[in-house]
Amino acid sequence: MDVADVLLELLRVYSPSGSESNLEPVMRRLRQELGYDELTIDSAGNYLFSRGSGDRVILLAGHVDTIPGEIEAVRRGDVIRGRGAVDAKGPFAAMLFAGSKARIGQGYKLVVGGLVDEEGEGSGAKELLESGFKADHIVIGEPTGTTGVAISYRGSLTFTIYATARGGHSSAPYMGESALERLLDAINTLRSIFNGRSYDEPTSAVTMISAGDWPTKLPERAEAVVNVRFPPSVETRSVIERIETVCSLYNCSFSIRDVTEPFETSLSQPVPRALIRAILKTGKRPRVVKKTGSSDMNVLWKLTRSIAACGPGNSLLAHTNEEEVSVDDLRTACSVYIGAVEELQSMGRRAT
Amino acid sequence: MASVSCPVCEAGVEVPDDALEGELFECSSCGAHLEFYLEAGKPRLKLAEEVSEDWGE
Repeated sequence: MDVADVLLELLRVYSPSGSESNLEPVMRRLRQELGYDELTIDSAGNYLFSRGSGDRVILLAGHVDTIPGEIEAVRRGDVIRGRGAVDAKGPFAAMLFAGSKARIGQGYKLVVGGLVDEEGEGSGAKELLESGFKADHIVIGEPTGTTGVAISYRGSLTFTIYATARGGHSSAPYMGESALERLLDAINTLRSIFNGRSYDEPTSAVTMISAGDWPTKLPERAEAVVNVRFPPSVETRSVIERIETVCSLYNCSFSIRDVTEPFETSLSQPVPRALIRAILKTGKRPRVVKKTGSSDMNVLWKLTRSIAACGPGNSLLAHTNEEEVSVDDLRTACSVYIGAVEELQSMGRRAT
Repeated sequence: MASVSCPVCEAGVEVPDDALEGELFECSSCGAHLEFYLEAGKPRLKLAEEVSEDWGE
């Protein structure tokens, strides 16, 4: 069995967020075939494979849920297609395969986590945090083209904005009051504030909107969902304050649906260094990248700041119907993960 | 561990003895990302490629 077989096994089971338990029989078979000491499934449904029994824990954390939309799992030559091939069963398959091959010395334990609900509310990573799980080093399995080492993720704030008005007849809108028009004015102002065009600037996107119940009636109620993304240099509090100001200006209200804090680590931390050294040892040139989105890293850094993301696959294909990854990329990723796990242990030995 | 001068702010950056050519370090003084290389056998640092942006979560 090689890493391509592992990925195909995972892709053949459709597992959008909420259906990750479909993977249990495959996971149990993979534990046996790859020779892990244990596989535990925690209360959130996270799959935790482990080798070794030391106190110092290295976690390779991927996720096994995907966005909805099945894509048939197929291999054509060097390319494997399927829902999650990029985001993120490809990185997880490489982690699982690499974790079974890496040398685990005395005093160390390697855990390979197939976390759940990363594409949803992140309940898998949150459960790991709340359960008291400890890790000294964490590699997050997300697509970075294998040679990218992601040290930073933006924060995300999703809120619903509401407007109400007395309504009226559309034949004389100047006599009435439309909740939808008030909402659109507020949204336009928000978009002019969070109008970034790059990682370092806050951006906004209106993702849902609803209003009106009759073609000739001015809406009395309107609401929209807005998602704001912001870099580590911007505080969550200041984003909320600006939303409050705009809502107050247009007599709207809002409720926060979800907040994910931004996070940035340093190249001086052991995991970024271990990944960079492991990439160099494969003969490739490492790149430091920052991600415009968010991931389980935004939650798991609370366990350790020795954390970074790296994985096979072109992130531009994530969440598209063109998800595919090359076997060559998967194999390079395995070498990088094995190298990083062994580097981390060497660094630990040198430090003691 | 060698102390190598940061090409941006000239502060000393600690570079481990086992550093690989092409390895990236961060200057704790100015935050610049620096690439390690050897010049006539001597350890040196130069400004690394700019951090790139990557879409996705």
